[in-house]
Formats: sequence, structure tokens, C-alpha cells
Amino acid sequence: MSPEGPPLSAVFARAERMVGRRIADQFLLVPIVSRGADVDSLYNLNRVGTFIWEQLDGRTPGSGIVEALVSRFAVERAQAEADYLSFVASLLEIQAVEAVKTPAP
Amino acid sequence: MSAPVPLTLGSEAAVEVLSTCLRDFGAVHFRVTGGCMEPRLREGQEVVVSARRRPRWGDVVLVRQANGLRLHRLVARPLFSAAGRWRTQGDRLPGLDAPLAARDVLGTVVDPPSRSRMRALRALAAAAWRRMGTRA
Repeated sequence: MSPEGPPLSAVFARAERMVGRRIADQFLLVPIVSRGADVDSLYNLNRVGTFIWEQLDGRTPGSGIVEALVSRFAVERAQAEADYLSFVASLLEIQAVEAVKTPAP
Repeated sequence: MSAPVPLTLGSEAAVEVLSTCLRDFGAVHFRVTGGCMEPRLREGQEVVVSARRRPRWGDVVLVRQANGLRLHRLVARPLFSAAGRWRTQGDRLPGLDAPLAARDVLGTVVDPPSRSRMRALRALAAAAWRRMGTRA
């Protein structure tokens, strides 16, 4: 991984310890601990974040997700790349995603 | 920016989030705020509330009250069914909370174990005594 963040060729999967739920008109990341949901550590995702979260399927590389962002939200590619990389860096920080070494076919 | 933002819940959203998490995951884990259940539950202590365990007399339960969510002790519940009035009280509070319906009792504290029938009995007896005093 480069010091600026993961390369666009990297593939990430949603961590098992983090579950996405749409509750009260918001999309939340709910950490799962040994005995249930840790509701003291919920995270809220906006529309773009939710879209990226749903694409992190352990198969699609970052470049594919950036393409999807460009076509879905009609943003410049550079902006989409920057958003994607910063979002994934935040997810890595809270251990919500894991890098996949050999993506599933 | 699309970074995940730590969520601070207002009281209405908290009810919905906790109810959904209890339903979907069976249990929730959070830190106590406030001191009305001391020394049993201290401010900042972590508790696990489960929706899988049927609330019993003496348990500390997570309830929805008019002023938000509370972790209080269950001091009275209907004997033979869930229908009817449920009564709770904070261990350090002088009186019982307003009567609740079964749907307002969201879960039971299972860790740390929360049962204290003696405390529940004392609270109920004190409430009955006050009521008798009011009527006399």
C-alpha cells in the first residue's frame, strides 16, 4: 500500500464485524462485538459512502468502483478517485473493510 | 466527502436504532450514562442488553419512556401475560416510573447480571406504602 492510501487496483471486502443497516432514514455501519451490536460506535454514511460500501464485494477493484461512481453520480473521474480513496482509508481505519489478496472470481 | 461519521443519536432515533439492532442482532452493547442505577450500574460501565431473554421481576431492563430510553429495574409486571402495566424504577430514585406497556420494554441487561429481587421488592413496597399514605 502506498503512503497516500491503497492503489486503485486493490480489492476490498466488507469486514464481517461491520454490518450496514438502513435505520431511521440513515445508512449506518453497526459494529458487531462478541455479544451483539455495539451501538456506542455507530457510523453514518452519506449517499456516496453508502454506494461505495455496497460495491465493496471482495471482487471489484477500486478502479471499477470509481467507474461506477462516475456514471452514477456524474462526477469528474479525479473527484471520484479522491472520494473513493479517502473513503476506503477511513473504512480501513475503523476496520470496516479488509484487503482481499486473491479476489473471488 | 463520503467519510463515515460517528453517530450521535437523538432520543427518537436512538429508540429506532436500538429496537432495530435488538431485533436484528439479538443483543446490543453500550455504555451506561447517568447514575440512577448505582452501585449496580456505574456511569460509563459497559452493559449487554438482550432481546432474547424474557424480562423477569428484579431484572434491569431497557425501557422506552416519554423522556427517552432508560435502564431501570423491573419491579412489577403482569403475572400471567405480557398485557397490562409494567412498572420500573431507578435504584436511586424515590418513586416508580410511569406505567409501561410490554412493547416499551425493549430488552434485559444480561451482562453484568442484573437481577435483584430484594431491591425490586423494596421499591414496590415503598411505592405501596406511599400510595397508602396518600389515600389515608
